[in-house]
Amino acid sequence: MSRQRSLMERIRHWMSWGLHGAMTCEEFEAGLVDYLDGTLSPIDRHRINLHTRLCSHCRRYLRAYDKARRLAGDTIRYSDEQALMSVPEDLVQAILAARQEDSADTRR
Amino acid sequence: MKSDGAGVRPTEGSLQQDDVEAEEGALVARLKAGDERAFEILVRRESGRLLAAARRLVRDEAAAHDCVQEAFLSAFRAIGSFEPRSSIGAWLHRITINAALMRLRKQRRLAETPIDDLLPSFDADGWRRDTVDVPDGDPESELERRRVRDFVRGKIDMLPDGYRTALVLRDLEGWSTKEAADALGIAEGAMKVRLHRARSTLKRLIEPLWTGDISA
Repeated sequence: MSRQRSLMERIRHWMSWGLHGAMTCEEFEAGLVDYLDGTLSPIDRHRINLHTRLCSHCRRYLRAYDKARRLAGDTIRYSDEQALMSVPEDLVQAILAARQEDSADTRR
Repeated sequence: MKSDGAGVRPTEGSLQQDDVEAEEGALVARLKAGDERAFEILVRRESGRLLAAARRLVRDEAAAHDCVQEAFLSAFRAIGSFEPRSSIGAWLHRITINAALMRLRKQRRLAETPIDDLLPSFDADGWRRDTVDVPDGDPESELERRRVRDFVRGKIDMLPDGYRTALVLRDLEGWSTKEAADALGIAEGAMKVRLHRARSTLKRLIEPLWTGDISA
């Protein structure tokens, strides 16, 4: 889906090229993993911060990207809690039986 | 427990920690001595956690059970060499993850597959084309939270194995980029690309939560 950008936003983007460390949305995208890991150089971090301030699209994108990460973590942690509440007895019995068999094989 | 400093009394927390460590040490000693009852205690204590870890990587329930079983057997065979630098639970967890990765690798399911339609797109000038507004706040009712979790879980499971694995190892297991790259047999740079694609794709897949079109 293509969006029409407001004139003001385009002007701010064009102006940003004159600022130290400006970047395109595509370059912003490429640096996100390192940005969130905190492994970017101070200059590159500054460029990402600057782009985030100037580009409302990337600001929204970053927010959604971060929220998706958080939701995934919450969902998996909840699944883990559920798994801890009910350990399948057939799994426990299968492991104990396999252990007996393994021990017998080792003794032979 | 801190032992330096005369007259420093151990806190309740440090005593509890000592109890846990002593209990863990006793269990490991029994396991090393071949005590079958200790093995059963360990299986009952850790199976749920390990099954949850395996399920994150292999979606098939029977395969997840197999991974847990393989992990226990491998661990028990190697218990003589276990050194309690970490807990036995953490050791088993790592073995389970490796068993699950090995299974995916054998099935050749860790290769990168095309997901271009779900990745962000840019115009010729490098402008971003797609963005969605995320509403403030989280669901308030338990029913709504459960609905969101079910939806997100379904979308995580929709990710191709190679991407889901990258997401699980880095964002959920907390492995470093290097550890995850080594486990998947790819370069660190490729690991970062794969992780970013996994996160972006998941974001795209769960956007209906924010646009109100949850049936998507």
